Amino acid sequence: MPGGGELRIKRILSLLVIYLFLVTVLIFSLYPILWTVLTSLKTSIETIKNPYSLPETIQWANYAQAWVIGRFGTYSWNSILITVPTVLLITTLATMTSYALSKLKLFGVPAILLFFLLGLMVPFHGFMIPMYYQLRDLDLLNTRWGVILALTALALPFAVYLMRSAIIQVPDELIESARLDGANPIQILLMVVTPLIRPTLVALIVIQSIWAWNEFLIPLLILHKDSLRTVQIGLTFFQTRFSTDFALTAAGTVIILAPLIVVYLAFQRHFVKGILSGGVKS
Amino acid sequence: MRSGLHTEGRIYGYLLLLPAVALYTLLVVWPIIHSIVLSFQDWNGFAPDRNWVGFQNYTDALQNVRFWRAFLNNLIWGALSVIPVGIGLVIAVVLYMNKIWGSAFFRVSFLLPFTLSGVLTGIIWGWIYNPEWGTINTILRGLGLDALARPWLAEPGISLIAANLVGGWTWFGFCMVIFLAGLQSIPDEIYDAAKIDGASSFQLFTRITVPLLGTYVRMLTIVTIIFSFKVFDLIFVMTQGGPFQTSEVLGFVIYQFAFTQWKIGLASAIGIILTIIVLLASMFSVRREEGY
Repeated sequence: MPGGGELRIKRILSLLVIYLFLVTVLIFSLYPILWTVLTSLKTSIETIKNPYSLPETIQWANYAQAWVIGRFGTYSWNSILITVPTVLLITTLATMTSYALSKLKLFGVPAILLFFLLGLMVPFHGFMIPMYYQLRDLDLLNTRWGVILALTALALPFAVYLMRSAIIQVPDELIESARLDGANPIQILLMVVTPLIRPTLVALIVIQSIWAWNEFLIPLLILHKDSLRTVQIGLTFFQTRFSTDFALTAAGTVIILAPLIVVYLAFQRHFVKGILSGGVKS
Repeated sequence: MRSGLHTEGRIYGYLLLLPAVALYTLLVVWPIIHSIVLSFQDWNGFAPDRNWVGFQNYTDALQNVRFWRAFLNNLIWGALSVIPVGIGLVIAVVLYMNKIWGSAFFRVSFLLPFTLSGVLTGIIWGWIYNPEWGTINTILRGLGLDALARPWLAEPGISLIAANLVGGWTWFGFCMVIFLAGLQSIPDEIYDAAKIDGASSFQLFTRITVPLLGTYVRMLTIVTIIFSFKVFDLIFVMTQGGPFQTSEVLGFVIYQFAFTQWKIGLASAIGIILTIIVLLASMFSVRREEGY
């Protein structure tokens, strides 16, 4: 059967082309990260002389140095102190708000949704100047709370829309029967609704954690003291100051990168679910 | 009795709404309104007096070279950002139409750059673009193409494109995820029916997949172009708008005018123009989607 053989060769060839394409893209997407990790384990002389070789001996000391000299310990701690309260606040407020908007038969729900849509559509650069002065007038410049509240306010529209898409699917009968059992709306939210929307809640927490950890412009505007700087700002300052020490900067970069990659790999299903329900309008 | 319960529920409802609405009004809605006010005033950010200047800031903006170049750069950024949308589309189709060994691994790896911040990607790619020992110039020299090696982030006209490539590096995986979801929403029966009618796999792709995916392509293209007007971090970290202000984008120009030159009125006017552009594009996209 010469015809069948030809077909098989064609199939194998096309598969070969496909894998070649996928592996090329794979190198494109992973190489920059892998090279950074490799560089972070070399001496600074090696990084200039042999930027593409494996490290002669692995220099774990770069990490200790970046942690202390580069103050990445302080920056990481600052970022945690901002990320954790921000995520808690966004999750709590968004769940409360979307529950009220979808299950409590309030007046003016479409208007309130439109009101939140405004913040989803207007670009941040269009109002960052008055937001800065608003925070100044509230005495929140150079405070962690300033960053936490600003990040929360900015994330609310996305978070409300995401949580609402989940809460609206909770059957009304469940809520009704809990109410007949004498539960008030807050008890219903905590005992009935929240357990049912766990997957979306996790998706929101994952997305907002990554986003708060990655945010650059808002902490840049609000925090001017080095002792308050977050990882992203710390890294840009560190990079300018130690630009010649490639190994040390790479170690600092990996310190910031590692938690992101761990969270992403552990929760990637939730992460994808979140960006899908946020990206594709229901 | 029933209506009494409802009223009680509503009181709880408004109480639950209150904190989010208050915070959001205070830090988002009021600043949006306030920025319109600021755009009609002359203010240096500190002085107690602000003068009303009518449309002066807008005419200043529209006569400013940096405004127009930034606007043009945003358009270039948007046009170039359609490339990762295309790459994401191709990958999604390839992964969907073939039984790929390690498909999940490819998917997870392709989306990984999307999770990294602009600062991280900017700094990492800054090394790849390094003129002396960076990866790109090393490869070019290795291939004997020394003439093509250049300081990628310090050459007018090139630095914007170089920074955009990094944006594409983080964006194509996101596009892939959206397209894969779109492909998975196409019912298998449609393919089966066409196969029974004797359609080849190429025909299946061009006649069924592409048209059904069309909505996703349009939506994501528009979202990409809207997002391209919000670029900031990559430009700030990689080029600082340089060399010679040739890679500035609107967000960067607003930041510069407001927080290094303290021309609050002018910066606010550019912010309002940016807002109008983005809102028009968003409304256009909603209108189009309703039309289909």
